[in-house]
Amino acid sequence: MASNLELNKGQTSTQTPVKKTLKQSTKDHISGYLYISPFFILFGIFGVFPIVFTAFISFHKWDILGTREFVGFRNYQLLFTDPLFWKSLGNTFSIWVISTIPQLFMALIIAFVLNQAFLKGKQFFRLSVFLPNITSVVAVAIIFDSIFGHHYGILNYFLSIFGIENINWKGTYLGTHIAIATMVIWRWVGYNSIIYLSALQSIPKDLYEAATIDGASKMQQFFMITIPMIRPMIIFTVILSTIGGMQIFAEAQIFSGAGGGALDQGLTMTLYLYEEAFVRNAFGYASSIAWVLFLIIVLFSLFNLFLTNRIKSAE
Amino acid sequence: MKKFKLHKVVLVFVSILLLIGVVACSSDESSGETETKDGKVKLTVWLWTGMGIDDQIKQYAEENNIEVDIQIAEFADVHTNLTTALAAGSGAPDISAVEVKGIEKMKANPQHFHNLLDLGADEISGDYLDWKWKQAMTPDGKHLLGLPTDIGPQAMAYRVDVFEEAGLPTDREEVAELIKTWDDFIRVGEEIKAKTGKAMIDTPTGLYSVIEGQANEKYYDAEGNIIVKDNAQIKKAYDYAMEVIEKGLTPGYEQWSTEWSTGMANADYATILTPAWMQQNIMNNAPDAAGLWDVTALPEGSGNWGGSFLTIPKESKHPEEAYKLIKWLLSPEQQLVTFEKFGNFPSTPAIYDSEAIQNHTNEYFNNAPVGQIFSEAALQVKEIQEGPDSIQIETFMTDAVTRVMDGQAEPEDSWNTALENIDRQLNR
Repeated sequence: MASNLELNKGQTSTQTPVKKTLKQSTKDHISGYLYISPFFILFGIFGVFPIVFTAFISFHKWDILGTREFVGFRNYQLLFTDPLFWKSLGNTFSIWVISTIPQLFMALIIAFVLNQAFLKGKQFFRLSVFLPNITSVVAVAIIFDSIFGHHYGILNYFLSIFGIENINWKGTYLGTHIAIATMVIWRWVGYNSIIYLSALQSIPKDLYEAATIDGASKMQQFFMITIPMIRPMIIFTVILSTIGGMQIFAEAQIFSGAGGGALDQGLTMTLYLYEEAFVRNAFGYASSIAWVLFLIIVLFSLFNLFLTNRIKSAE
Repeated sequence: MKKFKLHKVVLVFVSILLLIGVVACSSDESSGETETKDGKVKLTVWLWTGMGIDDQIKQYAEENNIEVDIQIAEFADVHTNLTTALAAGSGAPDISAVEVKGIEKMKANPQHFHNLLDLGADEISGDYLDWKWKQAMTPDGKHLLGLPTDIGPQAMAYRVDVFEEAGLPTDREEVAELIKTWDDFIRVGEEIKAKTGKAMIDTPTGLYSVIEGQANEKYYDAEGNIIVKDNAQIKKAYDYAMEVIEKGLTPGYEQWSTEWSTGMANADYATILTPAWMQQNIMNNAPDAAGLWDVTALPEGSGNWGGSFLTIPKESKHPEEAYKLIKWLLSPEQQLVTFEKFGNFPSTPAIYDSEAIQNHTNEYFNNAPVGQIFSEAALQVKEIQEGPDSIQIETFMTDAVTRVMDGQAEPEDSWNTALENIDRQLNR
């Protein structure tokens, strides 16, 4: 509509020889850019600028209230020889492995069950499976903190019924990682299962019927039909959980305390970054951690993409 | 054509409405407004929840014809917001509360605050406890960042029923006589463990934090060097913490966790080294244990935990007015009022002899004369040189204690790791 009007105006004005008008295609281009500019302006200010500024700060030493001191690559050098950083890397990967791999399998199984025809009350189950995802991270962490308590925790109470002694969850590496991983699994298994469910529902039923006629068992159908057909979704969830899982922060901070615990057992990379910036006021060092974290996430995501690509494709 | 024109008009109308909405909804934040329309001075004050001084501030504002805008946020947020506002160069209030943990960091950058000495603060320095006054002063003594609000002098809260079960005296004077040194403390702990099976203290880190503060120097010397390695008092504090762990005298609860609160109610431990403000926490966590707790003095001196200041950031356009407000609010008379209303322990020794404080007892603690006990403790707190990284060093040292508590390290190794951490992490 609008372009027709503009076209008419353009035609009338070219009749007066002095006035110069833009070509219609140029006007289209300009209005197109104007329409998408609000998002990009905001993204530029709140997205791109902080990223670039962080890179800039990572070459300085700065305590935010004082002056900036240019130190070149010193922060990165310190980072690679910093045992705490490597420990936080190990912690993050350990928590990721314990939380993501079982979680995605569980999500797939839950989605498979939810997809069955015989299940009554599907809507209710789908809703309740997704519910943990919308709860407050801090509230959940506080409650799990109590569940995993050393002397009065519910979990230790149940274990004591089986004769297992009180486990000091907070005081050991594995205990802390399992506790934090449990919180992550609890929160995200519903989310991933709903995604898998939508993928499962898009698989045409006649494939299964044809396979049953051909004599394939349920297991064979699962591996030969289901998995290849939802492969894109699997790749999607793996990448998403990689990116999210490497940045775990709130659960670790509340469970292990601000410093990651006496052994730094709960110190994830993001928690280390936060500590360096807001507790020790070493913003330059924290910025270098941020950028190295980014690189690690990119590399790890590419690695996971490579692995999941090896699932037989449906084509 | 007509249909299209109407569409266009509606579009323009809606976008104007949105624009008005955006403009109208932005409240005029304090950073722009420092005077109200009739020329009255307007001061912005940042406090955290539970400080208890809002009413008195409003009273002052009414009596002195100024306006105050009190903005209350969470404790940690106040400090973060203040740091951000100071770094950004705008948005800081006229008066901000800063706790003793935060003041150390601020002292490293005193240029962000008005120097209260320039506003006449040395006239009133005599009203306040020396060690508290020094906490807000830069090491060279030239720049005062804030006036003291309350303090947290420490005493020993003990379970009367546990002491009785162990056949020990329960009267607070007798307990103070019984436990005059930390060796006595350990000996009594062993007795209690033998006769009742209960632990002596909630956590070894609590013990460590008190003993380390009982000498003249802690983490820094007068020149600002870190002296953790060579300071005998710190080693002493650490060693006592180790002894308490080895002899099984503590269950190692994390303070402020839900288990710690449960332990309070169940008498899992016989003593807590408690600052004045923690009385409220004990009362709230273990309401059924009223009358079973009592309070007496700490062995070998006293300690302080917490306490805050009111500062005037440099961005304030009315430093004189702000100074007058905080001078009034934190004067001995007004601190007495705050104490009577909320129990915040005053930092002005002149009123310690007042009836209100001397006669203040706490029914929950077996009617102990807590006003007297804590004021005596307050007068005994040693003046200790702190530094910008004191909090970090404290964390490293208490982590060392916790590691041994959790059975994850030997005392010697844990100590060495702590020293290594201090060297490495604080040089960035």
